[in-house]
Amino acid sequence: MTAVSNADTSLILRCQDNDAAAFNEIVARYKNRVYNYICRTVGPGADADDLTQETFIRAYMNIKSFQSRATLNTWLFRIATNICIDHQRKVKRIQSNLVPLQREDADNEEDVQMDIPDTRYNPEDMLLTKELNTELSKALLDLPEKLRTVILLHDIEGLAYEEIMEIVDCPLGTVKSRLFNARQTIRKKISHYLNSSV
Amino acid sequence: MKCDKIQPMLSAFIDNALSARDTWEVDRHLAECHECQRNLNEMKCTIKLLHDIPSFEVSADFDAKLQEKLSELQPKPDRFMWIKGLSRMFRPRLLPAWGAASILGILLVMMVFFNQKPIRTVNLNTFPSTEANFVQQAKVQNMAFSAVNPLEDVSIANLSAHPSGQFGSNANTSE
Repeated sequence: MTAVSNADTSLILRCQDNDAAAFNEIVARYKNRVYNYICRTVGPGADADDLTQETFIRAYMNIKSFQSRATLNTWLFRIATNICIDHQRKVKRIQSNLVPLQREDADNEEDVQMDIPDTRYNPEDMLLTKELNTELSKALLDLPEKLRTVILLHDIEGLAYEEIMEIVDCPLGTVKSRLFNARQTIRKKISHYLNSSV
Repeated sequence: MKCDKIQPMLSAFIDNALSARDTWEVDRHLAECHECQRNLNEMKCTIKLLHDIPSFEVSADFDAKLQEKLSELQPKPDRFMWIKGLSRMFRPRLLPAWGAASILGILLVMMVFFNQKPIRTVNLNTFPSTEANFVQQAKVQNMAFSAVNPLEDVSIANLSAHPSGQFGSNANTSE
């Protein structure tokens, strides 16, 4: 067991003993990772903020039933994944009842991307990086939910295959093939940038 | 191997998640195929870009909002506490003790059941053919030969009613 998971286990045990400070520590540790994952899944904006809060509320409510065979990392991402899936189903249901809508937060997303500082000093490079990041974000959002979950967890959040297997509840072969398909789809979508840079 | 078999393996190849044989196959193919080599480089580049993509961070008032919501809530009690208790009782460390206890229990049951003396039953309807046999049977049944009136003994009375009359007369003579 790694030092991180040992510390997590100790935090969980403290939470199960009704120690509110321990839960605050969990929130401080994971809020940005969970928020980033949710933003990449549903798009940044008010929804992502609410869904992140919902993830931590659900974790807080169920902390006493947390089984130590899973890691806190895996557990939180699993909750976030389920919440995002529920949210997207709800959105789809609403959209199917109304006229097709464009994603409202597309403009916001660009704003958020604009706010992220870039250390590169060449304005041309900066512009290209910004554009590429926007393209990547769009390509991620356009992926089917199953492929997106796997690529976000592996390539952005850095989770191992085994952890992803637990989160998405699929065998290793499925995780590998979904990851390949997701990477391949994104590679094709940004191929014109890659051709210029590779 | 052909490109269509190699390309699905490129992703796992980058993550070092292929078996030694598959890694060797992919390596060998890449040395000859420029198209797959290009795909591999592009995929590596895509992964790097994804890895370097800027992260989103929560808003400044995230903690305050969350605390406000959490202050109204209480964690749910664990509904499966009894299952956890059971699984704790059967945790691997205690399994040898459980095994020893089970074997002891089985041995105890076997001792109780197999050490009992068998109940010997005598069928009174089948009469012994000789007097010696009758005496032996009477001994088994703990009949009192020294009784003043052996005919009071029900089984002896039954003997006197034997069609041959042999035992009845003997009983009378012993009196």
